[in-house]
Amino acid sequence: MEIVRKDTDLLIIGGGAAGCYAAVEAKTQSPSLRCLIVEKAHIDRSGCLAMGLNAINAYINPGESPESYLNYVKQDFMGVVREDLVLSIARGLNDTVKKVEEWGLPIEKRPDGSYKPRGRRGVRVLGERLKPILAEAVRKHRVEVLNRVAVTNLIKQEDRIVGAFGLGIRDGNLYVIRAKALIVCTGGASGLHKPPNPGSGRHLMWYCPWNVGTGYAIGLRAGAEMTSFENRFIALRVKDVQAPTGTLALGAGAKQINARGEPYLEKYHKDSPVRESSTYFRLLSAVLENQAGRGPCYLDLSHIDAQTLRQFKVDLLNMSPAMLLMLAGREIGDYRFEIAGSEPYVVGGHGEAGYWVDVERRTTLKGLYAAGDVAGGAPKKYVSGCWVEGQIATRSALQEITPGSLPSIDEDLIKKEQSRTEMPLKRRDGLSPQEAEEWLQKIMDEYAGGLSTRYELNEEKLLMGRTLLKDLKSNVPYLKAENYHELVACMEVVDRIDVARTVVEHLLYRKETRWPCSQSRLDYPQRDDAHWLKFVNSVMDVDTAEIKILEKGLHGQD
Amino acid sequence: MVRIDYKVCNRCGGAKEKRCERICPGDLIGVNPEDDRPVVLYPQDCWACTACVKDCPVSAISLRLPFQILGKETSLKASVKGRKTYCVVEGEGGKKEEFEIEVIQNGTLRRKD
Repeated sequence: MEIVRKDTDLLIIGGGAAGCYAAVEAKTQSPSLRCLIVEKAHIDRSGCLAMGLNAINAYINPGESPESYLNYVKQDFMGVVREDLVLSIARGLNDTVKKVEEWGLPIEKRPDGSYKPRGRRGVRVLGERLKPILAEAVRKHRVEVLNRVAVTNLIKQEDRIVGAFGLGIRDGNLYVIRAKALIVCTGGASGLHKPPNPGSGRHLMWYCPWNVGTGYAIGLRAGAEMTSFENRFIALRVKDVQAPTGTLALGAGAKQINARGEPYLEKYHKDSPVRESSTYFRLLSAVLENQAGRGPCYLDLSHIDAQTLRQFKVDLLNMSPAMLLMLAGREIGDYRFEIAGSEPYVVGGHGEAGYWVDVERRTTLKGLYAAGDVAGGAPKKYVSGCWVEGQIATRSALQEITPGSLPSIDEDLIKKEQSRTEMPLKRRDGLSPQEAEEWLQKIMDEYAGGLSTRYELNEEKLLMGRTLLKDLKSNVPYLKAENYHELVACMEVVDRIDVARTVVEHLLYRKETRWPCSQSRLDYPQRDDAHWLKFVNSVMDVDTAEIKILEKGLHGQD
Repeated sequence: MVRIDYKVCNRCGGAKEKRCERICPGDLIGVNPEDDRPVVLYPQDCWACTACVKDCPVSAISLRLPFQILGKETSLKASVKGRKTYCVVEGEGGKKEEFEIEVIQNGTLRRKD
């Protein structure tokens, strides 16, 4: 393992939606600035957008306003959202969408030239190549990109983040990157819980399987404050292929029905504890209908005409190609698609788990900013909100970058990270990353509300989960890797364990049920606004790795 | 899961890094040094994203779903030319459906090597 040293002004960790937008913004504002994106995969097709996208779900259509968007988000997440963050996103949505359209993204228009809405807060796009379009904008703006380097830790000296370590997936080298400011844009975490299908189907999941929570983990290990990890995100999707239900419901007019062919949403509405939240209401109603013995539930498209069907297929080609295989050779009339909740994920773009940031997207660590799925407190930002956050984070970070030199990095820190990251290659015997991942997912599935327990939680099981995760963590030194691919997989499972431990602590702490399925406490089944209209935050101790919980008020106050 | 048709694959003209190897977001594809063929090293880890299917310059790669998911043989091929993405979906019994969609406006993407 060789040491490769690199210096830059602005380091962006992760070249997805937020990272690409942040980088272009940096070079637009300051063309002479050195800006480097470190990307684990290849920037042309990495992260959430690898498959493409057929709608932008956060947009201020005519008749809506940033304030009406905030009201919707607040209502959908039962009042616990950071209003300052959500508003700052809402105010920037339309400009960033316009910018990406200029870069080449086709957006469907009405005859008067305005965007064709999809639902109240969405627009239809032909986004099959959205990721290559973003990558091309990055190249055109002369941003330096380091592909196939997986960041393993932040470099913290005195009180400040001064760079990051990365592992070269192709060359096995340790990259030591110094920067004047950093923006973390890695996305959220999948693979904490057991996926719905085993073996060959294990990665047919909603969220990108290679978004493993590294952005959270590097922050946790450096002592950053995180928020709302108990707000796990569960996607209601077309079962197994994880195709978006919005494409069927909003795009093609499908209705949710049960096994008897009856529409079931209406009957739950009057008494549902979450009737004001369309997201949680639809998810919980499907779960309850299954529990009542009237499952499976479906999205019914049996009345679709040939033209709408063709349009629906084009939508799938743009975003969910696997579902086209499910439709292959099927006749019209046979169009009911089973829907089911996914396993839980930890994300800040659909849900609100992530770094605790101020409105400038500063984390609690000096020199470090966060944007996109990795930034917390502002759910339902979706792709356009990630762009806005990338823009805000860059604008704040640029103010911090001054001519001056970079600090020298303590050689002991480098040696320590080198020995940590190369250890699995030196072991002949031990725990494979696959085995460790299965162990983690078993614990989380059984004791922290996975699919097999219908997402349900109680204190005793969570405490058991805490103990088992501690045991798993103590086995990290026995991880072994046969090659660089497996070495990165080892680092990924280490990151997932730290994220999972934080999730369990958050789930234990919130003694109410605010977001059913995301956080269903059987021992505290009611929502308790008198005591819990607040954020649960956490900080991991950098020496002992113990997780301390903090409470924060709705407006960020202690 | 993806399948590489070695009758069509041209080994990217002998290039050291193959296009599919380069683009796979999960780093699942490698090259067999003996015959220079790209190989899906970790087929069970495929996300079915079709990045490799679309990026293959000779359309040698197709997507299929595991039998536990669909219970039958189907395949999807796609290619990218200029502003358009082309796609052919083949169902049971060889029934095909074709798509041609324009996915870039104002300008084209450079094809990088």
